[in-house]
Amino acid sequence: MPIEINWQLLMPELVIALTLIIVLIFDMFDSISKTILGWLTIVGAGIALWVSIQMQQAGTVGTQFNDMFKVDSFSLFFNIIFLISTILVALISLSYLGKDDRKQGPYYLLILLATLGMMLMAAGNELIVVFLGLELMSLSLYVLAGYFRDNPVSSEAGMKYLLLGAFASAFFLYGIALIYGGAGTTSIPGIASNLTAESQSPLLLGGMFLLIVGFGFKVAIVPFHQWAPDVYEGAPTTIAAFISAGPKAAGFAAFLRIFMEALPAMQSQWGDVIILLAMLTMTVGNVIAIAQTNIKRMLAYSSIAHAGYVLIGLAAANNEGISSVMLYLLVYCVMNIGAFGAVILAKTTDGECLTISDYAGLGFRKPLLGLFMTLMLLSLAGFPPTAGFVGKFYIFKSAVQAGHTWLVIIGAINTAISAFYYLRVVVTMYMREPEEELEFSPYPSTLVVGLILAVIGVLFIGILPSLLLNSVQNSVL
Amino acid sequence: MGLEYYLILSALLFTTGVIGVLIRRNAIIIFMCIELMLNAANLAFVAISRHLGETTGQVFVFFVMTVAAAEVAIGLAIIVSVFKHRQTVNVDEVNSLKG
Amino acid sequence: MLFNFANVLIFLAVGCLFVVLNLTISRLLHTKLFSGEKYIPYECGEDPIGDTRIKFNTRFYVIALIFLIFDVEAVFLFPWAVVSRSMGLLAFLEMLVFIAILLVGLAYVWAKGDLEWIRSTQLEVQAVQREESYDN
Repeated sequence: MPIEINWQLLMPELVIALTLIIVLIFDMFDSISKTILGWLTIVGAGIALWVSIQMQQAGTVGTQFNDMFKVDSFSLFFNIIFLISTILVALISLSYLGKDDRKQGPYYLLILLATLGMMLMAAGNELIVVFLGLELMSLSLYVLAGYFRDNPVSSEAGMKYLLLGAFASAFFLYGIALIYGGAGTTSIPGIASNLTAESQSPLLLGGMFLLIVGFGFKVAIVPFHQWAPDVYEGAPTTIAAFISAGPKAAGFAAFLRIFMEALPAMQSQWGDVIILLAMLTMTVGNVIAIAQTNIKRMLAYSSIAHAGYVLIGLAAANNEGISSVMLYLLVYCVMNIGAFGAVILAKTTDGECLTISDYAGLGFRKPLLGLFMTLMLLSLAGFPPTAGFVGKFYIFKSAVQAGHTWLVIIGAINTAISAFYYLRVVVTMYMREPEEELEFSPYPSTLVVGLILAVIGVLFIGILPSLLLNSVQNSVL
Repeated sequence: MGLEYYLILSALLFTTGVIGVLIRRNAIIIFMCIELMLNAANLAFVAISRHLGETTGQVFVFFVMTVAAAEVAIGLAIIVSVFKHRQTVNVDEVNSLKG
Repeated sequence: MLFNFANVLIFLAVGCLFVVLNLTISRLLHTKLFSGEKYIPYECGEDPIGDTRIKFNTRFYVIALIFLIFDVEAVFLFPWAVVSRSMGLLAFLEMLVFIAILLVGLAYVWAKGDLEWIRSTQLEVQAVQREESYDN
């Protein structure tokens, strides 16, 4: 049986895979300067981003490999999110890794591998492909979290992420096995068509809940969030930014694809669970974030809370809900990487400023740093005219349309709580006197470029959301 | 023999793995319990595949096996690097990250 | 079906009986003389040195992990072998690509020096020299 391969459909993935192999080969030779590996990663991801945008604009749709791999506006839009995250993270990593040649190659390789895994997750039209993408992404991230082997904290973060991540993967896999037993197929459209025909078996119900548990761990929603603060604190800061952005978007992409396309017939069962998880995640994330003194831990709890806002959009489960989730994830990735980038920028000669009190007086002594940090935190808190406001607005709007008004009220209360701890950092930066004089390192230029791109993104989406909104609304499943 | 026996066995294996992860404190043993969970899923895949008379589930098992091997390679390397710093792999004693 | 299984059972029983019989005969026949030499692990003239629980070189472990990965990847060759004839040239090319990627991986491991037995001395010295050159 002949199989036609449409190479054009696979372009973004092929570009990333090719970049990966080029980086791998370049890293083998000692004569090649390792500093170009980071730039190669950025160029490769940039080409893939350009191709994805072109395909998205042209509305390319198609399936590949016996319907296992589906390219549509939805997967292409998520490709854009992942590739933007990858480019931003690679930019802020260029100066972060230092001059050690041995550290450069594997780092960018693993970032590219993780990106490829995310793209597979968003495009997977078969549970096997989603699982393989998830594992490709997770395995790369475990290594990246423990990347600074000489640092005991980084190794520890790697081990915690590994044990809990592998635990979650096993739940996810068992969920797939049960759904395979209940529906008789692992193809997403196949499950959807079998579901309407048959009565729902307990196998399917069990499988669905195991999938929720598995995804819950991966995207850090309460009560499966305990790994997130420890991993974010221990992992290299660039990797904390990466883990909080792309993989979370990829988890939600696969979540949307599986639950909206394969299991819409069971919405009466999973809808309420999602609403409950949304409430828990927002509230727990925001309340615990108030008590944090370490800025990386605070951002970790804030990213948990943001997963809660995304769940509101999922609970709405209509076209507006899906498009608002997609918009929000794009916005969230840009502003969260920006916030972590600002943390990296606040580098003293002894290391990074990690406790919030270290930021006292920074706003005036380091105006650029103060500006970046303030903008990103305001966006995370959801103040207009930043992108965070636009994202939250559409999420809440879709939930109101779906009739979840009280869920929106809880969300609004949580936004108010979150404003407290985000603004506390801003207040510390501008209104407190520093307790001790800290010696600051000079700004690395690539890091500043990355942050400027993030700021442009945040302000652009915040001021002119309509340009993006059309494209998002055309990309729903 | 019916499908349900295999599924019950796989559910038992899976539960054993989950309980092991939750109560054991040695990172290596936790890791072995996770592998047990993956193999429980493999058993379910093969049994269901046989029951349906198709091969999708069996191919799935091949992929899971390779993924599990990669996970073991990475996992052991990370656990060894933790052991180098702490001289222990007890997850209760490896707790410098706490807020 | 049942009869075939009986064959296995008989074979198993004969096997067990053979072992037990031989052990019993030798127990009945051997001389009961125990000298110090009898209690050491090897009786081939090699004197055991030190504890049996020695530390292995970590290189064994690295090589074993690399072997594990490449060994398990070979599992994909089996389903491919089943369908390769009916799928023709495309299957062949796909497997070539698959193996080429694995080869690049192997070359990477080789280039990084992870297949060397004496890496712990040679490359570490290089790394130290490199770090010293950065500091200067």
